[in-house]
Amino acid sequence: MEENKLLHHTTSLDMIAEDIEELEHGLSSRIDANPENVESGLAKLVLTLIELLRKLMEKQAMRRLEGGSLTDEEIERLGETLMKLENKMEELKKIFNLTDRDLNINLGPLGDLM
Amino acid sequence: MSNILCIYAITGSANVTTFIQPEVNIGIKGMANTETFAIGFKGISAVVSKHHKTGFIHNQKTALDYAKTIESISQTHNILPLRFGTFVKSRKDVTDILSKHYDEFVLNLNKVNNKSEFGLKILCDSKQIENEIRRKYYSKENELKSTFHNGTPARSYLQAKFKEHLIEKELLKETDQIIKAINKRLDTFTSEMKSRKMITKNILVDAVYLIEKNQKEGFIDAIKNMESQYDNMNFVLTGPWPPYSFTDLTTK
Repeated sequence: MEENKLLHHTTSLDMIAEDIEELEHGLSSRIDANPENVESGLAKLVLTLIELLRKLMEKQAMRRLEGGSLTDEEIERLGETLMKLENKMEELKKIFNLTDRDLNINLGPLGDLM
Repeated sequence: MSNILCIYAITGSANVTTFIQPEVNIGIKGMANTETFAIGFKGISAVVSKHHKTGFIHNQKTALDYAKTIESISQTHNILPLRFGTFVKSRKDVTDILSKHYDEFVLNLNKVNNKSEFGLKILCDSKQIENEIRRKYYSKENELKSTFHNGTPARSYLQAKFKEHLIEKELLKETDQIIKAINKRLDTFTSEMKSRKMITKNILVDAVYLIEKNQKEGFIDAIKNMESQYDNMNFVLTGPWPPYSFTDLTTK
């Protein structure tokens, strides 16, 4: 591959490198479970799934809000539920020493989870 | 010690003149400095190299060597690149794959004949675009106040989430418009294209184009001209690549 493959760019390549690094993290992150860290490996798996479901719930809630079909009471309950879920997730991430980046997964055509 | 064969690419086709003669050493080095040769079947062939089953290491270096070999073959031949790590046990396995997927291979070879892949990434300062959208939505926010009146913590939380949702939606809409405008401009050069949007915060568009080899210069000029029309965006164009993104193959 001696030929120069970079045909045109005007931006700093550092900017691209940072973004590629971000992508690589998503690709290389795997559930790393072994006898020493099985708890942490499983926690990562379970929390990633919970986060996926939480995000889906949130998207659905936004669509309902956009539709304008929710009553005052439903809006209050929805807000409270989503807020508590997010707070609980933050607690669990702290307990297992995980960050948002750790829970990111690539959902193919849907993009990244986080 | 038993051997395995690594397949790099499928080449040739009934109506393509660049067919590699079977069993001939094609003079291109494979992974771990091995020789590559072709195994043929009815006018198409698989470019392979022989390796010891034990001791072969899958790492970044061998992956790069694999890509380099594919790149070298593609300089002179019409090819369908295969995925890194395509190993089989014997020559019979190779001819079985060629036989089983013959129609699919010929169809794909004809599709990519005399064409190369080019990658285009459009980068932007997503914060800047977001801020513009936020300003646009300032008026809309007033409308939302009736929905989220009585600012309990739950409602304030939901209001903030909803605002982010609207901004994200607008950002996606703008990205779609950019992709549409770009594709319209590049349509005359492009046989096929695929794109993903907002793969990271700064990469707004990540697209690949299948282009006739003789259209390369025109395509590059068109990209450069387009970039001047988008103030806050940077275009990064790479290529020519073997048609990695335009060959839908299953070799199981």
